[in-house]
This record gives sequence, C-alpha cells and structure tokens, in this order.
Amino acid sequence: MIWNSKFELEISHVRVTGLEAESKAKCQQFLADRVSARLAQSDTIEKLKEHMIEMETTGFHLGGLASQIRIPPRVKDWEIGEAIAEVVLEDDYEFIFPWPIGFDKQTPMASLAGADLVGMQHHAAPQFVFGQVKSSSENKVPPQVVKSAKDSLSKQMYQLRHSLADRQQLIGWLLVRSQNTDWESAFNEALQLYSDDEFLLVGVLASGNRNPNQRDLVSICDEVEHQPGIGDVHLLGIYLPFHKDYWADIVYEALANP
Amino acid sequence: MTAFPTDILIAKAGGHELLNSKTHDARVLIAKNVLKRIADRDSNSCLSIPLETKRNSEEVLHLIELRCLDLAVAWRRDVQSKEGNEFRKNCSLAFDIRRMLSLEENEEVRVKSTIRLVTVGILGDRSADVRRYLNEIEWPVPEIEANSVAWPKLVLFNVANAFLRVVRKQNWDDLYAVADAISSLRESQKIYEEKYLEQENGFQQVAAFELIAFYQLARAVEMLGVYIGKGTPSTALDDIDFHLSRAIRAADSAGIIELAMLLRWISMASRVLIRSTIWHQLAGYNSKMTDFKKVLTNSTQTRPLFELLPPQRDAIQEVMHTGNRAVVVQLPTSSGKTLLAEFRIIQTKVNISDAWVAYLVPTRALVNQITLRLRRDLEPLGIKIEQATPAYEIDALESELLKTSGSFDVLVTTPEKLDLLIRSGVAEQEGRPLGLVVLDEAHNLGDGERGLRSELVLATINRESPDTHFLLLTPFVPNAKELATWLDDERSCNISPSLAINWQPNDLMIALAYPKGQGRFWGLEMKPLHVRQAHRKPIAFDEQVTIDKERTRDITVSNAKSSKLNIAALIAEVLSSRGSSIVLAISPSACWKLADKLARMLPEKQSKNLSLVRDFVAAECGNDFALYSLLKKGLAVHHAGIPPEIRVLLEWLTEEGELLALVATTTLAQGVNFPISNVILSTYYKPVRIGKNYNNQKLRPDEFWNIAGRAGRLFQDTLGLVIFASQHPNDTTLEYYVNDTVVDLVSSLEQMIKETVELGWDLDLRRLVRNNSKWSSFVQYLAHCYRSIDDHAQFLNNTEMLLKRTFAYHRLSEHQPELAEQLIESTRIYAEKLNNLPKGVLTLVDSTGFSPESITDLLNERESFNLQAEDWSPSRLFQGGGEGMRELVGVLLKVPELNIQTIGGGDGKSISSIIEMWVSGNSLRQIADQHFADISDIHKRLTECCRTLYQTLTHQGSWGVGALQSMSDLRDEDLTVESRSIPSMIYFGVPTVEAVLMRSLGVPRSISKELGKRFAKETVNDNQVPRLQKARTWLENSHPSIWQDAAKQSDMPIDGQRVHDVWRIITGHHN
Repeated sequence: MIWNSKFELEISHVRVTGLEAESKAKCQQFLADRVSARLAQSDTIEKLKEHMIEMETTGFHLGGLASQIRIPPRVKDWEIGEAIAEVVLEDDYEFIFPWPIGFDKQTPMASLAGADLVGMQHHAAPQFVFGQVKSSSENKVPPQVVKSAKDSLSKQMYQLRHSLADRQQLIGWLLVRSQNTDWESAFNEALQLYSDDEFLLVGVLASGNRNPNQRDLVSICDEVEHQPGIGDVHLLGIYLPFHKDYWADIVYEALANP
Repeated sequence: MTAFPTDILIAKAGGHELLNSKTHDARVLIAKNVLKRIADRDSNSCLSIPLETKRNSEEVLHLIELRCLDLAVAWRRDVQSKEGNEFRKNCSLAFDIRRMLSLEENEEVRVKSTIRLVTVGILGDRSADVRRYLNEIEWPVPEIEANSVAWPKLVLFNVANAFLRVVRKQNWDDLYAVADAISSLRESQKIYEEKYLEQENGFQQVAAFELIAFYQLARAVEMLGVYIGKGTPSTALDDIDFHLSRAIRAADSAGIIELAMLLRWISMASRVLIRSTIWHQLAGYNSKMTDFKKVLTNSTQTRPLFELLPPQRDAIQEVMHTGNRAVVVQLPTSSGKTLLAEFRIIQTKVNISDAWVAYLVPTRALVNQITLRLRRDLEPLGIKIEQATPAYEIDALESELLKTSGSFDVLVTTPEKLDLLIRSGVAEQEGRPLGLVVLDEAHNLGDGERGLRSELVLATINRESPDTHFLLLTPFVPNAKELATWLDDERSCNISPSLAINWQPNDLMIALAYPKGQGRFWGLEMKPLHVRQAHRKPIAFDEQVTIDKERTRDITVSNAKSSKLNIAALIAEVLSSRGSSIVLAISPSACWKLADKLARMLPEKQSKNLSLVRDFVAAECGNDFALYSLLKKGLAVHHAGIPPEIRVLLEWLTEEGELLALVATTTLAQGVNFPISNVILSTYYKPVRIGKNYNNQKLRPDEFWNIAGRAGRLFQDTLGLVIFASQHPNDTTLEYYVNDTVVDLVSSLEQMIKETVELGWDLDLRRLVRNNSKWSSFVQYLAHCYRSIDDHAQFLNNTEMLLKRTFAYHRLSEHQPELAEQLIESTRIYAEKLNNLPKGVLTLVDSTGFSPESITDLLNERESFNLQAEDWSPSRLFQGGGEGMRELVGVLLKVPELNIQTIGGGDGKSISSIIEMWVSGNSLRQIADQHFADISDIHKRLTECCRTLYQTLTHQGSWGVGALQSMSDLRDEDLTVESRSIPSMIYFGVPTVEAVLMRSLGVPRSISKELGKRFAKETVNDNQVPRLQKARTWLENSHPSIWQDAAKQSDMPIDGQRVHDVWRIITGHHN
C-alpha cells in the first residue's frame, strides 16, 4: 500500500477521499512499474499498424496516417493521469476496466462529455463505474480543471449523474463489447444492479506536487446535485509528490530501462 | 425465449406496454404537428415539445435502443426469430420517438441524429417512412466549404450525405452523387489530411483512428451505392461488412464511443439495405429475372425500383416458391402488389415457356393501367401483354387477336370477360396451357354478381386445368387462408407479411370535424376517433384540435352546420394546402352541390394539365358543363354521370397532385386505386339498387377500409387523414361504425343460398333462376360443367367434386354441412333439367352468358331476331332514328340477365334511338338534349344520359346484341367483319370497324372514326399481324399532325394535338 488516506468525508451525499503517496520513492516506483506497464499495454502503434494494412482496399491514401506510426508521439500528462487513476482504482477499489478508454477527447464525433473511465467495480457483485479524470499541478485550490474550466470535473460529473442517455450509451457500448467475452457475466450482473439504480460515478483529480486539500473536491460536491437513491458518487483526489510535467520523464525512464 | 440482460431493465421501466405507450405518444405528437401546420396554414410551423415529454421520451428511447443492442446478435442470426421480430419492433418504436425528437433538433446534432434515425427506421422495417422523412425535411447535411472546417468534419459530412442518399435513393442521381462524393473525398484527402494531423497536437493517434474509421465507412457506403444500383459485386454483403467491422474496431480501439456505436447501427442497417435490394432478393433465379431487375432499375424509369418494401421482401420468397399452386397475398393498399404478380408471371414463363397468364382486374380503367404497367416492365423481357376489353362479347378484332397463336403471353381483362372467353373456347390458344391466373382486388369475390362471376370463373379454371396456378392479391381479409385452401387444399399458402410490426405505408388518422363557434365567429375543430381493427390502428388521442382557426365569416355557424355537404366542403378547403383530397358524397347531384360550395371558397388555379383536361371537357360536354369551370379552381366531380375517358383524366390529375379535391360518389370512389392525401366523407352511405329502387346502405367495413386505406401517399404523406363531416363534436354512431369489424370474405353464392333457406324456400334452382336472375351465373356454371362432362351419369357422380370448386361449397361444407348437402341435392335435380334441354342450348349458354331458361325463352321467339346475314349490317340496324334496332331491343328488354331499364314509352323505341345516335357519333350533349329533355338542369340531364349509356346501354346493349347474333342461325363465316363488330360499335359508340379498333386502343370517341380511316388508308391488312397489334403500333408512332387533320375532319372544337395528348394520358403513354 503506497497511499495514505488524507481525508475521507461525505458532503451532499458525495463521498470524498484524498490519498497521498507514502513517499517519493514509492511513488516513483509506482509510476515506473504499474503506470508505465499500463501505458505499454495500450500500444497504439501496433494497433494502428494493423489497421493500416486493412486500409489498403479503401482507396484512400495511407501516407499521412503512416507517418503517425513512424513518429510515436510522447505520452501526455493527461494520459498518465488517466492511467494513474485506473491503476489506483483497480488496486485499491477492486475496479476493472476491460477496455481502457485512452483517447475519448474532443474528436469531431464525440458529443458526449467523454467518459474517461468505463468499467465495473467488483465488490460482492459487479456494478458499473463511469468516471472522469483530471490532472493538475496548478497552485490553486481548487484547481481550474476541477471547478471552473469549460470541461471541468464538476460539469462532467453533473452530466454523468443527470444524463441517463449518456450513461445508457456507455452501457450500450459495454454491452456490445462484452457479448461472448469473459466479461459477459460480470456485465449482466452489473446491469441487474443498474436496474436497481446501483452504479458508481467516480471523479478523480490526479494532482502533482500539491498538498492534499479536501477543498479541492468538497467545493464541487453541491454542484453535482446528487441525491441518494440513484447511484453513488465518489470523488477521489490522488496526490503525487511530482509536478505533472515530470510524470512522463519518470515513465519514459522506466520504459527505457526496464 | 432465452433471458436477455436487458429483460430486467425493461420490466422495471414498466414493460413493453410502457415502451409502446411512450412511442404512441411520440406518434401522436407527430400527428399533432401535422394538424398544427394545417391550422396555421403554414407547412413549416412546428409544435414545441414539452420539456418533460422530451426527457421522458429520451429515456425510453435509450432504453429501447439498449434493448435492441441486446437483441442484435439474435436478430443477426435469424431475422425471423422471435428475438429478431422483437428487435425489429423495437427499432420501429425507436424510429417513432427519434422522428418526434427531431422536430426540435439543432443543426449541430442533426447530421448524427439523422443517421441514427434512419438506421433504426431501416432496421424497424420502416424504409418507406424513412425515405418519406428524408423527402419531407430540409436536407440534414449542410453544404460546407472544404477549407472552412477540420478535415474529419468534412469527411463525416460527405460520408453522411452519401449514406443518406443511398437510403433515400429517389433516383439514379442519388446514387451517382454517392460515387462522386466519395471519390472527391479521396482527392481532398491529399490536400487537407496532412495539415490536420499536424495540427492535432497531442491527439494525432486518436485522430488517426478516427480517420481510419471514417475512411472504412466511406468505402463501405461507396460499395453500398454501387450494389444498390447495379447489384455488383455479389459478395457485397460480406465486403461491406468487412469495411464496417474494421471501422468499428478503429473507433473501439480509440474509445470513441459515440462513433463506435453509430457505426454499429450503420453496419446493421446496411445489412438490411443490401438484403432489401431486388438484387439480393432475386439472386440466383434465372437470366429472365436478371433482365427484369435491369428493367426495374433502369435509369429511364421515373422512379427506379432498387429496393423492395418490407412486405414485398417478406412475401417474395413465398410468391416465388413454385411448389405453391394457390397463393393469396394480403397486403395493404399501395404496398406494391403488382410487382409480386410480375415476379410470379416471370416465374411461370420460365417454368413453362409456352404458358399464358390471365391477369384479372375489376374495372376497365384498371385493365388499361395494368396492361401499361406490365408492358413497361415485362415487354423488354419478351413477354407480350394484351388486353381484352371488358365488353361482355367477343368482337371480330379481339377474336382475331386471341386466336392468333403466340400473339400474347399475358392477357389482362376482367373476370367476367375471361369467363366468356374460356366458356366459348376463344381462349384455347391452340392448347397453350393457362399457367397462371392473377386475381387482383380479390376481396371483390364477396361482392354480389361481380364477385360471383369471379368465383365461378376460378372454379371453372380450377376444375378444367389442374396445373394452373393462382395468385390472389387482396387487402386484409380475415379468412385469407380459407381462400387459399379453396383453390388448392394442399399446395397453397396465405401470405400476410405483417411481420412483428403491422406494416403500413404511412400513419393514418380517422377523425370527425365540425364547425365550432358562435354567430359569424367560428372555426373548424377535429376530434380523432379511436379505432382498433385487426389490420389497422389509426392514431388517436382524446383531445379536440383546431384545424381552422376561429375568425369572422360571411355565414353563421348554424348556417355552416346546416348540412354535411357544407361541412365537407369547409374541411376540403382547409386541407387543400396539403395535397389532393377525395370528398365523398352520396349521389351525383350531391357531388355537384358540394363541389359548387367548395369552388366558391377557392381561388383560381392554373396549370398546363388542368387546362388540357378542361379543353377536352369543353369539347366533349360543352363549356357550360360545370366541370369545365370547376377545373379552373383545381376541382372536379367524379361519378357515373361523367364520361369514362374524362373520369380517367380526372383520376390522373388527382394522382399528379393537380386537383385539390375530387368530389366523388361513394360508389365510384371504391374503384379509385391510387393514393391521395386526404379522404373526406360527407356520408358513409351508398345507394344500393334493390329491384328497381335504390336504398341507402352503409358502406361495408371492407369497403370503408378500402377507401380509407387510400389516404396517405407512400414516400410522401406522414399522415393520411380520413375525416367525417359532422354536425356535432360527438357522434357515437360514427365511432361504432368505424369500429365495425371486417368480417370473413363470404362467397356471394353462399349468401344467396343462406338467404333462400332462411326465407324457408326450397333450394330449387329451376324455380330460383326463374324468379331472380342473380342465380343465372351459378346455373350457367353447372350448365358449362354439364356440357364439358357430356355424360349425365358421370355428372351426377361428380356433383360434389364440381361443387367443391366453388368457394361457397368449400365454406358451407366446413361451416354448414347440411346446406352443402342440400346444394348437392339441388344440383342433381337441376341436372335432370339440363339433361332434357334441346340440343345446342348448352353451347348457347356458354357463348351468350344467359341461363338455359333465358335461352329457351329466347329460342321460342327466335323469329323476332333471327335476321338474315345482310340485315346484320350497321347501315340497316343503325338507321331511321333507331328503327332498325327497335325489334331487337324489344327482345333484349325481356332478358332477365341484361336487366335493361326502359326509357320513354317502354317499348324500346327510345333505347334504340339512343343507341343509334350513340353509334352514329352524336355528342353526349346531343343525345342528352334529345332524350332527356324533360330534365331541365343541364348537369342532371347529362348525368342521366351518361348513366344510361355507360351503366346500361353500352354494356348490356353490346352483350345482348352479341348474344342474339350468336343465337341466330348464321355461322361466323356468314357474317362480315363489319357485322360481327356491331356489338363493339354499340359498346364504343362508333360506326366503323376501324373506329372500333381505335376505341379499343383508348382513342377518344369523337376522333376515332376519322383516325380509323387514316389507319385503314396507311396500312395493309395482310392477316400476318392481328389488326389490334398493328393499330397499336401505328397509334404509338402516329405524328400529331395526323391527329390534327383527323380532329379538323371530325369538326372537333379542340386542336388535334391536344386530343393526342389526352390519348397519351388515357393510355398512360405520357410518362
């Protein structure tokens, strides 16, 4: 266990938790092992290569896309933030993410306020988990990504909580993807609980080089406008001792010296 | 059914009932929106959806779509399975809700949501609604400048545009546009892609995956367009599936969830699009079928047929299955039954190349329409189509055509005429087998004398030709299966491809409308009627809706309410902005009154077609005939008192959307077989002739639904409206009336038998036929069987077998076996009478269509009509103001089958004079003025004249004279062609053989004689090609100048070129 609980409370029916890395060394280890492994797992270059082969019969040119394979881009801090969130939730809260969502950003097609986390939590019985992740090293409480940005955590959590349509779109996606896979029975059980309005929405702030402060998350509890009875809402602050600008360095160093 | 994960979600939400009820609410909203547009007199006005309704609907929509995703695997495995049906039903529900929600969509989401809407529509078997939707709305994909948006958006919009065009496929332009759009994307890619990827700082990989998904989709849509247009490659289903599954994988990999889901819907819908094409449906039949598919999709077709409607798709496999000898297809009005018949005809010709086909339709107008349609679709395949006029006699020219071997493959005619052709042996075709009989509008089997004739001709064919196949086309009848097993109890099938959802070409609303307000300040309100029929559930809600806002008017509300004709006219005025209406009235005079009231409310309307028809009306009936001025307003009346050619023109104008309203009698409206936007009823009664009087009776439920079913045009009207004019907001009798259940199709013969027994009478055919000529057809059937068996003892042995061929006996033996027994007994007794008839009577029964009793009576006074050969000449018969015909007419008046009403002194003098004037070429106006002078009103006078001519004299007169001719001692060879054409001259109202020829080919009467002369002059009668076929070719190639000359020679007050145009319309050559 590398995380110490810094705060744990419930405001406006929303559970708020703060976790801080026990030490710099352990945290570095965590990024180098668990997080870098997670990022390596979703090796998009390989996938792109496969797709490129199948593109040949479409009659479209492959040149421009091929360059994406030649120059692998450097992983971004928000990608690492999402990977951190996934690993923490898996390790400490029994979450499972069958198909990690790496990229659902503001693409022209995405009208959903992109859910960063789509999976299940495996307690007694699996339940759906949908969540959003924000990364910040801003010297402000709460950081803008949580409360005031255009696509702030607060707005996204409100949307997830109150838009049945958005949730059902995500469930639909899980449904078609889990059919005839090992996840099928977990999905079916989660759907059963969902029909009783049992599911979990989680909002994560991956914070770098900032002091744990419950106001980071408490300040938005009201804005989610959660009422008990329809799902649970959990806001989780993960406080790392490194500025987010250095997360990639640590990960790449680990990747370079496995 | 196995458990599905979403079962519990559905159950907790309130079950399928809730989904249905929410969907119903959505459909009600769509309907209300239509009504709002009518009330606002603004085709763009829009209802605002209450926020709560919107939210609820969205929730239900997503639940339904989640359910569909859950069922998708099972659906894909077996479309017809229970799960497959539920999938389709739910997709149909989703379509209804999405269509309602789309009323308030903003531009941003329109492209994506339209794709979602059309995909669920296609998957829910609502392709007709989807295509109509795409026609009605403003095109959802805006035109965008390539350099004004990011590259993926440009790709998406172009691909979306292409996909929606594939779905709409109005014509080849849509499909060409698909190919252009995708190939231009490939060009644009070179310019825009690189720049875009460079800019996508940090997201290049997501962007790459997204583009991959789009390119795969683009390729799939491109292939879809090619396949739908040309049917190639045959592996399209798999190929397109491949590209779409790769697109889905790319979107999944990048976690672009919305795109991934959208692609899944597109992928499923594409399967249905491919499977609905004629290419897929008719893959692997034979080369003739391939040619047929090419004809249907040919770019010269106004509306090429790429796709089968869902009911056609589901019926086709059964129809094509040659193992079924008797097939009954139940399809709603306007869902493409003729196409199914065409498939079956091709199949018949492929199986037995020398077989011929009889295509039976109830009316003369339909004979023309079907002939043309079949010629258009089947002649390119080398299948020859001919028609036999519905006149109940076979003229020399027709006989020449029918006896020429190989002169036709398909003969389009009425059941009565086919009966005559078969019984008189004219249709023997040198032993060519009758491969197939198609009976269109087969529900008419239950309809009086007409139905009885149809039943008996099918019975005769079935008895004499056990290899003939049958295809019966009908709207909903509850006992269709019984109909099929009647014709063949083992090799038969009944197809009612209603699937999981009850497919309809559009939504329907049945309502009553009434004036509401006070004094001179009033409007019109409408109240939907709740109707639940097994075959149709129109939209209804408990609310009164304004369709014409209250305002100050010239007359008071009580004045407006004073008659239903008034109210119907008001409703028709309100609806005039939303396409053509048919307005029903009980009688010709009610039609004129109603039309006059409506005309006062409407402004003038001008169009080329209206003016053409108006000129023709003036030429035929004079420009003081009210129809002439009504047409100026885009109005017309349609009843038995209007000459048939003009009626055809009026129907054409309505179909073309040129008429705002066609005011028709309830009787004639039943024959209307094209869709219109609205049906307005000032009455639901029709006059029924009982003996010499008329009695008003309610339209039977099947008759009402036949007319109501015409409301709403495929691909055009979201909502067909059927509105009853009412004086009050509530009318419970009306509610009961529209809920009367459509009952089993019952044979007319069965009804006659039951009525007889109920009256306590013996089923003694000898006496029954003497008392009432309605028994004539049945005893003729027996006489024909007796004649063909030609052995008294064998006839007695086979009595049950030959009775079994009738639908009446088939049903009685099942439902009332004791009556069936009685019928056998009566038939055996009647056989004794047949056995004792003088020689030759049975042959005459077959050639005349008269009962043995009538023949015997006529033979007793043979002297009065047994003319010499030279007396059977037009110059002798049609002379001296009808004197030459007088004696013959006197005989005809006594024949019960003909049932000719006397006019004037009752001695036949007036009738023979009318016939003489008619044949000599006098105008309708002249005949009316001379013979109906006692009727002062010109419209009533002309109406009465037309009714007498068209309902009685032309038909009955030609039939009777033809019959008398065949009963005279003369043989065919003793008579000239001219003499043998006398019955046709009476039928068509012309004095020469060539004019008969022209009339048979649809040429208006007033120009036929002169045009016939020209034909005779320009062609040689070489006996190689039947003259009817030769004349048809001549007419089709005739130069308008020939018509101009002929019109001048005929003193017609209209330019010959215009008459030529009219002829092209009447015969369908205008397309």
